[in-house]
Amino acid sequence: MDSDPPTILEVRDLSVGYGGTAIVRGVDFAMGEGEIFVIMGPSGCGKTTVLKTILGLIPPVRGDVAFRGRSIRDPEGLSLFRRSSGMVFQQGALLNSASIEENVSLPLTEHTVFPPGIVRETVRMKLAQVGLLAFAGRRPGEISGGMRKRAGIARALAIEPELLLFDEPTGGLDPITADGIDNLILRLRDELGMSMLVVTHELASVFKIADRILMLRDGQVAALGDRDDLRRSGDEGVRGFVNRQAGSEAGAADGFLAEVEGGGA
Amino acid sequence: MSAPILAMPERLDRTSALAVHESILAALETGEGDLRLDFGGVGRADAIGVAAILEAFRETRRRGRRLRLLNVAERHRRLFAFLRVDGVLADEPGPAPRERLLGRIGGWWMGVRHSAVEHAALHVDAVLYTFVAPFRGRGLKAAHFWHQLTGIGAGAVGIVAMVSFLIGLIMALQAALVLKDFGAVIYVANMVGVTMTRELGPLLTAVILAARTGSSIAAELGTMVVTEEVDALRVMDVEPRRFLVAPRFAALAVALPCLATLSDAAGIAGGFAVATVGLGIGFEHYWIQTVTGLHVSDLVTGLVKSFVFANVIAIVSCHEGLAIRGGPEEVGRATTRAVVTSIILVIVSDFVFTTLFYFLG
Repeated sequence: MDSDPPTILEVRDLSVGYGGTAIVRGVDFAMGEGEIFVIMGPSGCGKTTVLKTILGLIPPVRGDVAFRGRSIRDPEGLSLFRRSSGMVFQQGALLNSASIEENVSLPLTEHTVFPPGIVRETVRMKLAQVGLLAFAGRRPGEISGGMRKRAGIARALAIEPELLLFDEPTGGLDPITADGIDNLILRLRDELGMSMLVVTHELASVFKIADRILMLRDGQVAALGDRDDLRRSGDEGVRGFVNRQAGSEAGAADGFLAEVEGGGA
Repeated sequence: MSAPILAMPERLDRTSALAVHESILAALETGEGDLRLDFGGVGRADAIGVAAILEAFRETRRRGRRLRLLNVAERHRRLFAFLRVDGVLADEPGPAPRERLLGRIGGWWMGVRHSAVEHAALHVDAVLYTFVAPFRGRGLKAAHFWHQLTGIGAGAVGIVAMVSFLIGLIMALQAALVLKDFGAVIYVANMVGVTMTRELGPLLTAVILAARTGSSIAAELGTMVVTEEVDALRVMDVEPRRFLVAPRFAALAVALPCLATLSDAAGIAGGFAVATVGLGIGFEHYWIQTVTGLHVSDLVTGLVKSFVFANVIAIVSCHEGLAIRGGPEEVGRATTRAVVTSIILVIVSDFVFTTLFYFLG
C-alpha cells in the first residue's frame, strides 16, 4: 500500500474578507508533493481570493497557510515560499516593458548570482520547453494570449520551483491551445515530479489534470477529494454533477457549470 | 409635525418611479420623524420602482430619519430579496446630522493621516533602496536607473530648454518695461539671473516634470497594478519598491537638478537675447552684470529646491500608481491625482523653502 506523499502546502481554516464581508470561510486542505490539486467552482466563488491569500497578496481574517510546515504569516516563511514556488497569472502578468527573454530571466537575475551565460542558457531551455524560443526577443504585447500564458509558465519555471500555482491556466483559450497547456501541466508532474495548485472553472481541464479536486461554492468548501470522493459526496449538486460525468465528460461539464452558477449565487 | 403616510401607487414601476421619488422628497421636506410608505395598494412592482424606494430610503438616512414600509406583501418581500435589496431596506435609523458631520471630518482626517504615513513609508523605502541598499548588494540596478534617467532626463531637455528660454524672454521684456523709467535697464540681467536660479528654474522644471514624468510614472505603475504585473513581482519575492520605485526616484533626484540648471541657463539666455537685440545691451556687459549679481548661494538654493521637488514628484507619482485598486478607469484618475498633488506640494514646499531661506539670509 502506498504511503501518502509529504505535505508541501497546508491551508488551515482560512477565512478572507473585504470591508467586513466574508468572501471565503473556513477553507481547509493540504496538498502533497507531486500532486496536481485543483480548486474549482463557479465565477465569484472565491477561488482566486484563496489563491491570492495563499500567495500572501491578501491577508486572511482567520486561519493560516503553511509551506513545508512554515507559516507564510512569518515574513521569512513567506519569502521562502515565494522563492520556492512559481505563479502563473491568468493573463500572464508579464512586464510589458521587457522582452519575453528578459521576463523569464527576471527571477534568476533577482535571486541568483549565476553568470549571464548560465542564466541565458537556462532561459532558452525554459522557452524551448514551452515552445517559445523563436519569440524570445518579442515583447508581451507582440504575442498572442496563449503565448503570453506559456511565457508566464516559463517564467514561473525559471527558478525550478517546488510548487507551481496557476490562476485559470486555460481561461480564454481555444480548445486546442487549452489542451496544450493541460498536457504541459501533466508533463511537468510526470517528468519533473512538480507539485501544482491549479485554480480554474474549466471542467474539461479539471478532469484531465486533477489528482484531487476542491470545489468551492459561495466561499466555502462544497467538496474535496478525487472523482470517486466527489461521486459519493453528500452534496446533491456535487453528486449530480459527478454522476453526469459517466456519460460524456466534456458535455456534462457544461451542464454542471450552469447548475453550479445558478445554485451558488 | 409628523410626516404623513404616503400611499404607494398600484403600479410601482418605471411609469411611476419618478413621481414616487418626488413625493417622498417633498414629504421629507415638510414633515418630521419617521416617514411611512404604505405598500397595501401596490400590485405590480419592478426594479426601477424599487430603486425609487431604495433611493428614498438612503435619502431619509442621510437626513437622520427613518423610512418604514407598511403592509408589504410577501411577493414584494420576495422581489426585494431577488433584487438583493432586502438587507439594505432594513429598518434601521441613520446617524444624527451632528454625528454625520463629525464622522465626515474624522474620516477625512483619518484619510489624510493614512495617506501621509503611506507617503512617508514609501519615501523612506525609496531612500533606503537608493542610497543604503546598494552597499549591501540589494539596491536598485544600474541598468534600471539608466533606463529611467534617459527617459526622464534626456527626454525632457528640449521642452525644459524651450520653455525656460521663452520665460527668460518674457521676464526680461516685462522687467525692462519697469526699469527703463528709472534708467536701470541693465539690472534686467540681475533680475533674470537671480529669479531663474533661485526660483523659476527649479519651479518651472518641477512643474514640467510633474506633468510629463509624474503622469507617466503614475500611469505606468497603475497599469502594472491592473495587469497584475506588480503582484507577479511580489510573488517572485521581488520587492516592487526596490524594483520599480527606487530607479524612478533616483533618476528624478538626479535629472531634476540637472534640468533645473539647464533651465537657469536657458532663461538667462532668453534674457540675454532680449537685452542684446531689443535693449541694446552688449554681451560682455550683460554677462558681467549677471555674474556679479549672482551668488553661489543662489545656485545652491535652486539645486536644493529642485532635489526636494524631485522627491515630491517621485513619491507622489509612484504612490498614486501603486495605490490603484480597481480597473483601468482608475489609472486615469490616479494620473490626474499624481499631477495635481505633485504640483500643489511642489509649490507648497517652494513657499516653505523660500520663507526659510529669506529668514536665514
